[in-house]
Amino acid sequence: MLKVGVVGLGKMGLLHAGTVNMLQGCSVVAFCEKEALLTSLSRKVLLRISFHNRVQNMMRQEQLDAVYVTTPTPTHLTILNEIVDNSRDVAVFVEKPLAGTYSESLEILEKTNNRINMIGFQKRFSPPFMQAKQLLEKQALGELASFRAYSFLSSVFSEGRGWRFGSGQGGALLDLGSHLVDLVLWYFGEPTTIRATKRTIYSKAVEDYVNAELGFESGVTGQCEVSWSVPGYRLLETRIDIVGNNGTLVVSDDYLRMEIIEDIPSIIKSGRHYLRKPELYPGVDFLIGEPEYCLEDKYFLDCVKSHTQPRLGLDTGVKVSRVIQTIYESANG
Amino acid sequence: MSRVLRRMKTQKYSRAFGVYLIVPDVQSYVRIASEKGMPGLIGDMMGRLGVAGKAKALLGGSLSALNRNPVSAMRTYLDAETSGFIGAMPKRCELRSLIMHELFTELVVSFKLQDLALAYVEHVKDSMNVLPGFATRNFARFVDFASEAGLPMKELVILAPFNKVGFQMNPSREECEAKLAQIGETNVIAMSILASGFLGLQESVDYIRKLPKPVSCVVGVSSEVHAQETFSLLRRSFSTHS
Repeated sequence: MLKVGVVGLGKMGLLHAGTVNMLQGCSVVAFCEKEALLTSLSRKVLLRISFHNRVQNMMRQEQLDAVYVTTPTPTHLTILNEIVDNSRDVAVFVEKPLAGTYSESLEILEKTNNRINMIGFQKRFSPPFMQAKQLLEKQALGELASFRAYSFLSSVFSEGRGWRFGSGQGGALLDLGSHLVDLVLWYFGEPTTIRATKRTIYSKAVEDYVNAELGFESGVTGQCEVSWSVPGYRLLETRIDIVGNNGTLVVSDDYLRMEIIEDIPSIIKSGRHYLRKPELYPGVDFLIGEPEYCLEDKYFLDCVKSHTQPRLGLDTGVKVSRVIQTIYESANG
Repeated sequence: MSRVLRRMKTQKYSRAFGVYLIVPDVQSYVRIASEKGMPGLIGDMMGRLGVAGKAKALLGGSLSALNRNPVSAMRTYLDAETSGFIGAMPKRCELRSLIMHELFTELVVSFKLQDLALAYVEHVKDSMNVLPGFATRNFARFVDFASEAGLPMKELVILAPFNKVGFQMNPSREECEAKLAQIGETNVIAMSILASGFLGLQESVDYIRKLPKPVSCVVGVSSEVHAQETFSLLRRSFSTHS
């Protein structure tokens, strides 16, 4: 039985813990949470789990195989330092984004690269985005030319409170945009040129809107927009429109749409294709939120069981941090 | 919600309505948790209790009471959360069931909180005199949990996805159908029967009719016209096949 600990008793901590607990051969045995009220309340309800208020204590007292870090981004470095200093080989899963800055991300990677590690970019497990990746790898669109991508949410229409709105800790790009940046890197590789602008609309210390133009060695060019202040998006919508010399592909959380010019034998036929979320639905061991969370947790813990480094390691988080930092630098002039 | 209730109050209906209420309003709580964190969320929930539950909430729902006895605080919270709704309901409306939101149900199942589930069922059934319900997107696992916990299956409402393509049916459509065939008498309400608009109404109805046990259905509507169209189609579809 894999013994799992979770740092942070917020919504992501509960989501992962609830999912992990229902995966075969896995059990959440410990939580670490510094808020006394949350801990004392949870202790009375979750009787089979031990609670700690310091990471050091949890690591020393529990024999854990894996730890999930689900606390606010600015705390990741400190927490991972404590985990590594108090355990020789526990596997670590870190919620996105890896850190607030590129240098902190590098520091985290340096500390954790001697053990199994993974970053929580769960959109890579979302069926439409996975399907799009497979089609791009099989060159269904031919030679790629350009893309337009966005992540929009209607959540900030006045000055917000909390760590997401603190300078150097949050902002629309860091909070929402890290998934989009990750998908872009997954599909097109690392950009060689970045030119960006940003705007504050409601927030004071952080941006509410970012627009970045990216260029790649392959010749592909693309545009990314990220904002949490766009009306009409009650739920976060992430969408990427891609143009190639054999057609177009539009992928979002809800669908995958393609217009293909010429048949590619055994890969795709010419014409229109429209795959919607329900027909791509995979069925998962236990669903909380979206299926990608379960697929992500299962993949990570299967890697821990088989002592294999996941493809989505913290080095991916570092690459995303580097692009985000470059976007900020460009936008700041 | 309040707009719908106001509208219902001002119009005359020839039939009584049965209301199935899902608690809590998770969407707003998730938003608060994102902004203020979990301690802020608990504070906010207690604040709502104070406003909605008045004296009873003040006695049983304070933070210290929550800390002393979470089950008792849950009962107080349920009373407070529903009292405002019941007060605003038109006379012809009747609260038939209080359904636990799926996010809470999944956590109750995952952490095997049998005592909490039993306390919830007893309170809703005995004190509120309505059917206790659970919404879940893990129907098969929920049924296993409910059986192990000794929940009174006959008196439960289970709201779960059932559709031809297996959308949100976990771990699989086949396993959910098999579990439905196995369970005894229970009030199952099928949701997501149209699989987020992917399926047509007729094929959805055909699938529901072929399930191993009769179930009720819930569909979402966005306007009066949409409601009239959908419900008349549903009535026709179900009646022509009987």
